[in-house]
Amino acid sequence: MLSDLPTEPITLPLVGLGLRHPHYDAALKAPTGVDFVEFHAENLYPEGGLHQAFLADVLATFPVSIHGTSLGLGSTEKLPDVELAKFAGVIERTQPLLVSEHICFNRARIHGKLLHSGDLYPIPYNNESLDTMCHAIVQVQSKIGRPILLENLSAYLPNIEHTLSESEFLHQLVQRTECGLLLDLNNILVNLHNQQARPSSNQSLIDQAIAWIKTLPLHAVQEIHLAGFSPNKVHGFYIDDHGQPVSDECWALYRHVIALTGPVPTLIEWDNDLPEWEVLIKQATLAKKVAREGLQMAHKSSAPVSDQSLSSKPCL
Amino acid sequence: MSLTNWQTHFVHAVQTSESDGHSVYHNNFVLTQRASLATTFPTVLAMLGEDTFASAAHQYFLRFGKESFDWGEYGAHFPTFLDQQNALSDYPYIAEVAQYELVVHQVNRLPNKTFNQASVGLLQTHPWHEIYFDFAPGLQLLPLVFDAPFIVRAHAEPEALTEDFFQQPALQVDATYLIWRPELATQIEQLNDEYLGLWQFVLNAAAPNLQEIAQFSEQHQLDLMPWLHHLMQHKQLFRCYSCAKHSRS
Repeated sequence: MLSDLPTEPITLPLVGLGLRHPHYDAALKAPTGVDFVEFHAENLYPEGGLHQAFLADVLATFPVSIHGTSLGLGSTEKLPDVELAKFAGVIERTQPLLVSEHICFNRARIHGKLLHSGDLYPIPYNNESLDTMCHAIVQVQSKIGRPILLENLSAYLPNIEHTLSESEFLHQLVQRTECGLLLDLNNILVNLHNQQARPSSNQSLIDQAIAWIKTLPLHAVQEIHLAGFSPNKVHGFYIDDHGQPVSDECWALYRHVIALTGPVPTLIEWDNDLPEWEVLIKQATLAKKVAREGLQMAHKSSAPVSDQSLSSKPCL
Repeated sequence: MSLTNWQTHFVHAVQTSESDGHSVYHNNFVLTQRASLATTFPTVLAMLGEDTFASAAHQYFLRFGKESFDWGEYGAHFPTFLDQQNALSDYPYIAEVAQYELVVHQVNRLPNKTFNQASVGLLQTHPWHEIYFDFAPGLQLLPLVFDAPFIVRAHAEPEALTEDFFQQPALQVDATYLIWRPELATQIEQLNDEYLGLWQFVLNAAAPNLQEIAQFSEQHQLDLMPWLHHLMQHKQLFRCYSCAKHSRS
């Protein structure tokens, strides 16, 4: 029916791909089908040689986003100036479309030695964590002169004692630092799958995810990550291993979430067991298709985004 | 419990796999740490094999932990660690192979410099006691008992591996190599005894000026100009510069 057709053109999101070393040549030889590429910041820390030569070629070909994995902004141990300077140097050299890090900690002093985990460890959601994260986020944003996006984690410890809900924590983080959010849908699904052993809702998994996402400060969501995860559990947990195509569940959730957030940049994450670059391009194409479906759905219904209530109970 | 204490306990619990959840993080760390070392030390991995390498990587972590933020900077003590492992006595060259791979890895990551061939013209226009050298990124001497560069090359080209490849006398060279990065990739050359002393003098902490280098060459009956020509031709020397205030002559 004519009345079902959208009256205004739908803007599709930019869709990017994580660019990892084995794909460098293929990406530069076939730079179509992807709107931007994402680098892990640490892979660009070397300031010379092949790294910089390659980066110059990529910057001439693609817009880039920079995704930090090592700053550990929730750590109570001070972020060293030298590490912050390296991160800022990458931002300065690449002038990225987006800059992001994680809501995590990664270092602690053991027997007098400050150890760095090289991983993303969860934090308890409480006022002390909030103060710690806010201080570090402001420090980074001040250094690089722009806001950063913070990504939600997959976490494998069910018994962390929180005094704030994750949603409350994120609202306050955004309010106090004016940072944005990077919503990783796969992490949300992995967490929900890992909680299935303790079902507390009759809702479907997708509905639970949507209900939780609606409690977040959606106006602050400026990027979405999509990924898949292995069906094999490790130590009783599904792992956010980024070694699979985007799962059907994740596509279904994305279709709903893009309708809530609007066309924010979307990235396909695939870091392990890498397929050919062409396979990733197909995933990017599929992301556009699913985004169009979600945005058309929102356009037709023109339903307002649900009220973002601070008092909502988190499902994660 | 304070947040600092909570985080310290968490990191310790990951190290000891205190619970299933902590074991997930422990497992991830072990895999990532091994992969990181394998990236920096591919020949060491090829020589030791997966199992021995994994065991060495684990022991290395237990002894040194991980302090660097960037996995790319991890493993600085790995050559020394390998050298101290009695269980690896069948591989007397393994520590030097690791040392060579580490140096190449580090030099490849150094910032670029601008090569300025025209700056050699300073030799004609300025007093030599005011002329100093700026060398290629990472230029350094690497003394080795074993021919680690050849071993690394041979593993990259397996057809070069023969049954008697690892006969120790054939691999022992007791030589000093010059390492530098002229452009995108690190280069290496074995120094002859004649010019080794000159390089050691040039690269000492005092950073001599050209007049002092010329005096050293004269004392040791070395021909300076062919040496300078070689430096520029192979981009070991990136530029000459004049700096009167540093003059000691």
